[in-house]
Amino acid sequence: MSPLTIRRTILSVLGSAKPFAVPAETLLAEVNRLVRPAIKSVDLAEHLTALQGQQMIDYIADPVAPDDATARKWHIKEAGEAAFRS
Amino acid sequence: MKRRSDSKLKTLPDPVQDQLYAIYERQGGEEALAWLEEKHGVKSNTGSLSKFAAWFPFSRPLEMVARHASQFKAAAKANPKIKDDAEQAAEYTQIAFEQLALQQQNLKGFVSLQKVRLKKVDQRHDARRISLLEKKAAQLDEAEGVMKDETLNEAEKAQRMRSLFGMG
Repeated sequence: MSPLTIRRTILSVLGSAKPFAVPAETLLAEVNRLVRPAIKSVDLAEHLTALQGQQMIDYIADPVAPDDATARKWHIKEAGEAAFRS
Repeated sequence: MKRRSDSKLKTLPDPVQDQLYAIYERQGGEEALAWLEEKHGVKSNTGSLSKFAAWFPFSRPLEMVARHASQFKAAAKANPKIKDDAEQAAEYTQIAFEQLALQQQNLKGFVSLQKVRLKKVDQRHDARRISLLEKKAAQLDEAEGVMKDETLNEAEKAQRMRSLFGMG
C-alpha cells in the first residue's frame, strides 16, 4: 500500500479518536486493521515522523520514559484534520 | 441488483449514521426509523436497523471508544470532587480512553484467535477426511485386484473381500 494511503489512514484513525491521544501500540493495531499488507512498528514510526514534520500530528511523551518512542501517544492537529478532509 | 436494506444503512454518510445510532440507543428503533425517513427520506425496517446497530459500534472502533470516554468525562465533570480540576479530569479521561481501546482490541484479538483455531480444527478434519478417502480408494483398488485374480476361486475371493473390508 502506498505511503500516502497509509498516512491518510493514520490521520483517519487519529481523527476518529479525537480529542484523545492514541498510544503507539493501539495506533499500530488500528492502522493494521485497515491496511494490507500490515505494516511494522518501524514503518509506523517513519510515517509518524513524516506527519509530525508536516505539523499534522504530535505526540505526548511518557513522563516515565520520555525518549521511548513506543510509549508515545499520538494525536491529530488541525493541519492533519484539514489534510484528511481535503 | 437490489441493495440489502442494512447495507443501505451502512452506506449512509458518517454523520447520519452517528445520529441514527444515537437516536436508536436513546429512543429506540421506531423513533430512529421515523427520524431517518422524515429527515433523510430513507425507508428501512426494524430487522435492518438491528443489524446496523450491531455492526455500527465495530465499524469505527476508536471513535466509539472516544465516545464512551467522553461520556466518562461528562460524568467526571459532574462529580463535585473533581469537577474543578480540569487537568485531572482530562487525565482520567485519557486513561479511560486507553483502557477501553485496549479492551476493544483484546476482544477483536480474541475473536481473531478463535477464527484461527476453528480454521485449524477444520484443516485437521479435512486431513482426516482425505486420509479416509485415500484408504477407501486403496481398498477399492485392492478389491479390484482380488476380483481380477484368476488364481483364486470364488470362495477364496469372497474370503479375501471379507478380510479386506473387515468383515471376516
